[in-house]
Amino acid sequence: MSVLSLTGVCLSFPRGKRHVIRVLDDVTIEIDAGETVAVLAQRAQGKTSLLRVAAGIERPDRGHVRFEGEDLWGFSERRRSRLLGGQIGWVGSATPDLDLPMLANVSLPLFATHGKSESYARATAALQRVGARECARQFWGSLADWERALVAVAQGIAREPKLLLVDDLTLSLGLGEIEQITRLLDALATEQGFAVLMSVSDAGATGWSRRVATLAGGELLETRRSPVEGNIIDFPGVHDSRRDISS
Amino acid sequence: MGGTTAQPLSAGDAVLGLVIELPGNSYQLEQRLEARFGSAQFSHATAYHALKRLSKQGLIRPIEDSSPPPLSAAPPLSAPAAQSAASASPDTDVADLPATAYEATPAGIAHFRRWLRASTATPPVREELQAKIAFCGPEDLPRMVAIVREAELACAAQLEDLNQRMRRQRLLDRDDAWRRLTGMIVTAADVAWWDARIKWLQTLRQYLQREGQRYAAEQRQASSPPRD
Repeated sequence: MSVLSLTGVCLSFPRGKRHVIRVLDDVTIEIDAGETVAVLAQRAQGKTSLLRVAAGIERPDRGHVRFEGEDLWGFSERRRSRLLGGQIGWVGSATPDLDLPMLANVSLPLFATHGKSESYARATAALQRVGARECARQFWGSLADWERALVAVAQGIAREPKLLLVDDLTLSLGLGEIEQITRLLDALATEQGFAVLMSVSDAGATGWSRRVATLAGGELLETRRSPVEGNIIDFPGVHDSRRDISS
Repeated sequence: MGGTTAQPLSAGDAVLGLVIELPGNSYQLEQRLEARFGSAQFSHATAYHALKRLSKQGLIRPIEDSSPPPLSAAPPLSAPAAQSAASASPDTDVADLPATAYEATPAGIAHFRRWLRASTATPPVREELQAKIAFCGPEDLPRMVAIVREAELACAAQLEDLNQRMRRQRLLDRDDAWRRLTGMIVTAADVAWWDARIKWLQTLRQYLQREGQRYAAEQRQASSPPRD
């Protein structure tokens, strides 16, 4: 069963009395556990809207959004919002609301469900896993873009989600940093078994995603193909490649 | 400026460079050519034919004792490759056998160094789709939109292939910092090309769709009976 399934999703926003902007037009996509899917689109083409629909924040005009087979809009509002705070993680590049050290920032959303000490422990582990342990005592303003991206990923995985939605995280990063962050996301998805749907505005950020879709004019295009892992493992002279990718 | 005619990367230069990096047989070089220059979309058995040509030119030579081969044992050629190899050289001698490993000669290394250091020219843009758009009429717009959509899908598939090759190559280069760096830069150039193309196709598709809708509306208006 897919972790996330969007079927025939349409979303439009009114502009004045006569005009309507169609952001998503009959969008269908399925993502399984451990899979990373990158949606490549230019600015203002509905990337964030797609993620908001997937997160259950935005209700589509038509179509179905299913999380682990259950229709998100069949849930109560409370259950939906709990889902977003827990099993669905959101990774973006927005400045945090509170000016706190990063450890506090990552752990704060966990307090309600996990208690203080457990929250700190989870946040510390998440920062360590993404390689941002030294950012724990730093404030947002003192971090480089690259460190901010790592902290955002740590925040996303601290709640051990089943689905991670990543909104154009690599926009301000350099070539090597983009490769490292997308490689990290793919490794985390494989290691922790969550699905990743990431929006990107540059093809370079699709490098470690197993599937690439394009989005323009509300239309999502994708050539869904069979997994290719076997090819990597069977390549002459290369053994146990999955371990190497994840390390 | 602009005096030289731009040539695409020749299979011979690419294969010669790969042989200089590491001697190998045609199967291994075919694999490495695909891994390193997959976006060039060289045809099947390219490395085999390039090796034959380079050997005739004295730029490479068969390694006398080429067992075991330098990388890993080459699996038997697939039926089409074997057929292609056999049909290409009815008078195949020992040096032409697919399992024969080759190394560069001093002349080959000198030739390659000259190629590496020579200036390159900007390749011409000969895009069939651009010409189709240039010649199409409003009545062709629905078909043009479909063609652009197909091209966009094909590009996304190419990007997936490139990403897959890149992941494989990173594993092979993991102990070679210089090769990792050049690999990353070359991949970035490939990706930038696909990125630009996908974005152009996306913009084009939306533009053609808008124009198609406008044209259809005009047609409907023109064919409806005039009001008194």
